[in-house]
Amino acid sequence: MTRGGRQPHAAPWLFVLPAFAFLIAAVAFPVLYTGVLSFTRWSASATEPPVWIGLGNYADVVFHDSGFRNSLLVTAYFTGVSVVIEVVLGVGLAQLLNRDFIGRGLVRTLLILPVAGTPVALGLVWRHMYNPSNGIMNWLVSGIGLRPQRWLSDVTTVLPSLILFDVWQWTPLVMLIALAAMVALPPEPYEAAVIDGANALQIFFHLTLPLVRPAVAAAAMLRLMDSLKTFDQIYITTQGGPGTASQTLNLYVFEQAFRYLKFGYASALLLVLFVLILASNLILVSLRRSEKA
Amino acid sequence: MRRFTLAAALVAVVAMTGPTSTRAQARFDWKQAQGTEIRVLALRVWFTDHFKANLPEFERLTGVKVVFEDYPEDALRQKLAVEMAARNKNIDLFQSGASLEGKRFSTSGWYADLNPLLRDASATSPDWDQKDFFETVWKAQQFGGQQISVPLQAVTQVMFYRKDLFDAAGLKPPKTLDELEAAAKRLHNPPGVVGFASRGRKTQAPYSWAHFLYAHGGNWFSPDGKSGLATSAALNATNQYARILRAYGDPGVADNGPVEVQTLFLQGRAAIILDACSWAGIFNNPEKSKVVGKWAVAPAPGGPAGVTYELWAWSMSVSPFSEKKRAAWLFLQWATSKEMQRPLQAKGFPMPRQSLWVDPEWRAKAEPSWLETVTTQFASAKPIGHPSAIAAAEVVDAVGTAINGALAGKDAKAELEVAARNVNSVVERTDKR
Amino acid sequence: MKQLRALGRGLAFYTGLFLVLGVFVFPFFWMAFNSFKTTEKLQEYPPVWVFTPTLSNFREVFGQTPFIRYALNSTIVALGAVGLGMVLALPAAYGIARYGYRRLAVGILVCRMIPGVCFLVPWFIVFRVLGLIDTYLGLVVAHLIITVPLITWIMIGFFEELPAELEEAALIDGCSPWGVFLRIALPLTRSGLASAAILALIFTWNHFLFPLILAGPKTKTLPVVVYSFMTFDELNLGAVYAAATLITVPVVLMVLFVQRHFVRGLTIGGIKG
Repeated sequence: MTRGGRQPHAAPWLFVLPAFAFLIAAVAFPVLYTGVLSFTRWSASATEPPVWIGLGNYADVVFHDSGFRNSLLVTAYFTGVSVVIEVVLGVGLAQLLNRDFIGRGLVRTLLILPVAGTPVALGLVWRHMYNPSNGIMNWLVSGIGLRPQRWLSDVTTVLPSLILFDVWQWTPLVMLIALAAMVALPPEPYEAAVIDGANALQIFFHLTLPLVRPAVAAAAMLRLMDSLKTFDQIYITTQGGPGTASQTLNLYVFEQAFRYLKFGYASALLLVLFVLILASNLILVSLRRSEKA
Repeated sequence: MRRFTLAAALVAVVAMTGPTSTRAQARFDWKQAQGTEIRVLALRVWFTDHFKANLPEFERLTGVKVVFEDYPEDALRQKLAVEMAARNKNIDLFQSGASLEGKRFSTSGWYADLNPLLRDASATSPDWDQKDFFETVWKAQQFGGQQISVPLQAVTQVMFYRKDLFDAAGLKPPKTLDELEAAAKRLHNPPGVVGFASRGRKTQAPYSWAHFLYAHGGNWFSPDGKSGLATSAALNATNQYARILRAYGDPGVADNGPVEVQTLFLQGRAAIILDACSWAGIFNNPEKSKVVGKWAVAPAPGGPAGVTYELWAWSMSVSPFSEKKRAAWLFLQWATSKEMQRPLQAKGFPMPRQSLWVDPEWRAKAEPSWLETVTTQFASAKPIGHPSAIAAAEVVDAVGTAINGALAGKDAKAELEVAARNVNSVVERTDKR
Repeated sequence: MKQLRALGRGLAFYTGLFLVLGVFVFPFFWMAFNSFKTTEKLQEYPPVWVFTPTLSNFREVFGQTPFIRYALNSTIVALGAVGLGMVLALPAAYGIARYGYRRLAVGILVCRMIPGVCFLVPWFIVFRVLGLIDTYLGLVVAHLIITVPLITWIMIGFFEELPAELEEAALIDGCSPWGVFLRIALPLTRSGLASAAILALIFTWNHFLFPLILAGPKTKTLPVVVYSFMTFDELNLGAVYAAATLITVPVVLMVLFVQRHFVRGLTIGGIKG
């Protein structure tokens, strides 16, 4: 959408210059620092400077690090399951709310609360709710006749518990985006479908869903990017435990850097994480583009 | 016994002779760093609360302003890591645990050697009385010939048990780990009371487990520097630790750190715990404790190979990047002086100064079983709770992972072998130069 | 018969709605509810529903920490990061929307993908050299990395929505592109501005990692304050609940009062992104 030439050429890029300059300044040094450090071995020592080891860290990451592989699995499981549930549930909830009813505005408002809450504060509340000895989750669960669980304290239940927390917090975001798209849909196709005798399910799957797909895809992309970067919630609840059962790549980097002081190695891992986030988003974008085409 | 320089010896003599000591104190210039400002990075814990509360007194005494920051353990270590990596000049004093981090930090040059300051009569107040510290605790703050920190407390792992429950069941406090296991079984009464509560979290469990390791004759490292995890002693220790906790522990054990263990006992929900003796003060606090008067202390039980008592002390150090080392040293002396430590000792928190333990008035008020146990254990305690390695955190985590596996029911032998391999490769990388 | 079915469906709908609402709102209720219990009561099981409420936790929060000051710090940093963020991001979003700098938009989005941990040590070094540690300016600048991409990303959608004719007319009349931006584009996207501002405010307010490392006692913000109640071996559960509630109340109020803008911002940004 470029304009034809009556205004001086200087103007357009001046608009974007300040933001761009800032971002370059803010981001360039950290990325360079991390990049350079990733080729070294350094323990933040004041007496020994970083030692250049070339691709040594990367080789270790790929070939010798079972902790890294574990964190990849944990990340894939956590992000994969929570994003899928959030998208499915979000669209479903949007469909549920896509009608006129009393208190609609209030409901929509209340549903945003999880997204707006402070993750650290919510994490502490959920952590207590999940306490196997005195948390309310076990009380609720035994109230409906199930066995009390260990939630965050057991390697088999910790990821589902964290996923539940994440789904609780971010489904409303997907729901809001999907709902906005649904509300903006034209009524004519629906009227036609009803006349043709289609039932509600058919309408939803063959009419609504395809029409809101771009918006939902955008929401999915947003969640994917943020989910891979999840930190506060896991840090405040399990710190990656028990053991390494909930140690996503982000948490793993944190442990390597700030608990083991392996700054060089952590830098390499950080770049791998970044590439992972970039790649997964690129895949989603290209999927979207191929659909549009 | 350290070799003192002549000057320091003279100072010591002068200090020990009564009336002239006040003259000596008058000669020590507390105001020598007047007008400076120092920054302390500390742990959020009961003794730092005491420092914070008394900062105005220090500022009056020295004219030095103190910016005091305290954080929970993990946050403290992160901030420290970031600031030391950036060689921040703006950090003057910080807290660390010498037996866990001492080797790592000192190899990285993160500690300023306190010896020059200790030997300097103009820098160290004669009343400070360095020899008053328990020798074991004082020595634990030394690495590579340097005095890297001053201890802020003295802690040993003791066995707290519910005297009321033991009496009701006709049990005597266990003297061996096997007896502990039997007692835990007898008193295990979920969901109200669990038999034995202990640390299970990956980063915390090894500390408590180490007692079992040594009781079974094991060691963090064998004399040739290889990991001691693949031995039968380690296997027996791990099996027993996991067995007791799986059968008679609380369901959240895999996530338990010191907070959870303390809370369980405080709430009256654990019959036996094996943990820091410094918790006696809290257990007797009627505002927080449900077990006031119901508990007693006994020495940590032994195993087939006898018993080794554990020693731990948070300590404070001066940063080598600090430009106000004298002012920082003034704070450190003040914070660890007899006057400052006495009120904490009175509240039941164990201090590293021997003189505070012999005070008859205090002894009369202290819980007798606690006093007896702690004094016995201090005499021979060693810092066995943590491995003496540069990459101590990684070693701890490798062991913690194995313990977690055992707690989850996996084969302890396999878990320990994996851990041993990991520890060996880590130590190979960092400790062998 | 039809009426009965309609009634049944209506009942089912409202029940389902109530359940859904309950699930999403309950933890907030539980957080506030629990902040009036003592730490001992909080550790009882089954959870206590009837008890004598106490204000002791709140008293402890205000007594043990300079909570008001931290709240002020959070406010200053949030307002600063959002204000300065708008100054940088709005022209950028406009430029991208009107002049098609698509690749720059992608670049800004990519900045958002960098994990926060990456910034800690390098920024600490730079900030220390520049004397920005424990300063408001330092924290505001640090949080710009959150607000600028967010505001840009949202506003691109709003600017693209504007009809081109108004701007073209103004340009023909001799208005400079900057003037068009200031006098036409901005006023017309007021609701978008509100949305972007509120979202940016909330995400800055909630941020934890940067203040933990880059702030000090003078500029500590609210999320970090929660830490003060987690000591080495004691967990002051009551105070933690009270602090969590106090931290969450401002954002909840923000959302409740401006939800319309919040929603628009999320959805426009989401759809056009």
